[in-house]
Amino acid sequence: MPSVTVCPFPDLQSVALEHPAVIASDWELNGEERPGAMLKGWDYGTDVTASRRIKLDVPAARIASGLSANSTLRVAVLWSTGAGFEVRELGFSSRVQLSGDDPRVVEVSLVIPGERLASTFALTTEIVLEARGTRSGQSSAIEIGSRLWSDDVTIALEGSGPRLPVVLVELDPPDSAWSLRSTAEWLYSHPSAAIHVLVNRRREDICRALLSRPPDEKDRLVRSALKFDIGRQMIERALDDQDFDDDAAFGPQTSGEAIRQRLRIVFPGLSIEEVRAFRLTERERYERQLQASHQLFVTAQ
Amino acid sequence: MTLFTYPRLEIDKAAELINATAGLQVEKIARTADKQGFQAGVPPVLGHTFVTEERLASIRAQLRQLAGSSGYPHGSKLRDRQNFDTRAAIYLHGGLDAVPGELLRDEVWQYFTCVIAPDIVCWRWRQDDREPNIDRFMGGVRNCFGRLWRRADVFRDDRLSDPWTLVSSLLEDNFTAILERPRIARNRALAREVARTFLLRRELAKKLDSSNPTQEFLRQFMLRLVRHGGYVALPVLQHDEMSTAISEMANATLSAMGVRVPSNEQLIDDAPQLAIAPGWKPNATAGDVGEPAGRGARSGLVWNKVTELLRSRRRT
Repeated sequence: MPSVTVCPFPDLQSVALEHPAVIASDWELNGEERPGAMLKGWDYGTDVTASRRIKLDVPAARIASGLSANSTLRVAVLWSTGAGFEVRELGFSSRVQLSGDDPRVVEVSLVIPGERLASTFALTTEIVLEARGTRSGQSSAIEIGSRLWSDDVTIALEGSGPRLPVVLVELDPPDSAWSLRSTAEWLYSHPSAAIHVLVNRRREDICRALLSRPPDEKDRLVRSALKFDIGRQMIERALDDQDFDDDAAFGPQTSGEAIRQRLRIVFPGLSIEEVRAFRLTERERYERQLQASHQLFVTAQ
Repeated sequence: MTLFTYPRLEIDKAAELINATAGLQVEKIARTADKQGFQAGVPPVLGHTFVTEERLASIRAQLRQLAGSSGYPHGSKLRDRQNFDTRAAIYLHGGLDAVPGELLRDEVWQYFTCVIAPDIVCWRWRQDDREPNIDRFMGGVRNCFGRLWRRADVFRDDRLSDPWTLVSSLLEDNFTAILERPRIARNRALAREVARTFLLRRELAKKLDSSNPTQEFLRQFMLRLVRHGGYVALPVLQHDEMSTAISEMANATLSAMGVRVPSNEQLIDDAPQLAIAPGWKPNATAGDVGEPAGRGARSGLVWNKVTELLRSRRRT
């Protein structure tokens, strides 16, 4: 699905038209259509061939964007990968004129070297302004590279682990219970790659509560406390991070996007900036709302 | 050339090995690592050729040699440690013969810090209290060796007559400011141009009234870039377009801070080592054959024929 961003100019989805300005087919990966969220059989020796068709309804694109017929757009695809460090490269790029009434069809095709992939990869398709024509609408995009349409998809190459890996380690001080470890790029990474819950193995009571099957009432209380505290710590870290805002371009299945969606549920109707202000000015209510949304100590099965 | 896969170290095993360095002298940590060999990691599920123990031993020896010329295993000055960083970055970038995807994994770098050279991590980063600096062992942008490899991978710039100019010119704080911004750092072409643009203006920024004027300029420049990235896709721009857009943002940042910026030509004259080498051309990108702006429209049918022709050429 196309991502929703707040733009200072009309993009190709600004106006609800009878016919959408952009119709993008699903990706075809190594000859397989709609391969789902995982590419089976990949190894370092297997390059990934990705292709899709982007159809641009030119009149609709002009109406939606406010750009004139002598404007030019660029269709580009970036691929990214990483399981810690992330790299992102331009894999395909092609110009499209906005003149005439015939639809433009761009056959996107790129080959990603298998040796350069790790764990997952993402494909981001962007349609941006290449050149703004004369007589374009006053509010239309001006800057080269202005994003007019975008979508992305993430493909797993090696399967996925638990969403938040829990690891038993020795923590200090010895009576501490657990802590959350996140990488510097955690907001832009899948949670399983960027966040670890470290549980103090010296605390046998806590380890037992987390490992017991089935859990008793005390175990459920411990689990509830863990779930609340980890959820709260993740929200706090995100709010303390200046990169975390409503416009940040977090990809799907990233921690940043997950927390952003979570905040919309916990604090409905508030922008992230407003949540920050709420935390600052009404701390007690903020904390109570977090407790309620995480169902702290609600242990009914 | 044979490319190798490397062992990976899971986080719980890494934590165990980090704890084992607590309170020990660097020489003792080195002896323990030598005694334990290279058994602790797990091989990747997906393979090329798995790296041999001889090669791992050679990497350990090479890193110790580089560190040795900067004061290892004894205390060292900041300048010595920075020299080690630059030389180790260049070595890690070219000396591992690793499958490129391997070096994007936290677990591989955890193996480097916890098994191959924990003594160097402690020499480079440990504080006086001898407590291990966990961030420098664990995967991520602060890993002792991963950050150096990343530094070389991102900032080795083939456009310049000396490709290592950016790596040897940026300061520690400069690397951090760029590399800990994943939206910038993950796009190498973008990050390199940001670094080159900053270095071209670093002397100008020294005029700012600030305790750390160049870093303040870089911080404001990065903030402007990140804000801009919300609606402008800089990484998809052609090389010259991207360069112009980034220069304009840097100039706007300096202007807003009250510094007058001379022309680009003047900036290059003042720092010729940052000039793009004559004859350098960007790599072609698949599909990048579209008609130049301003020409008449092609019909969808003609467009399809062009792209199909190109696809068939690629197949052959």
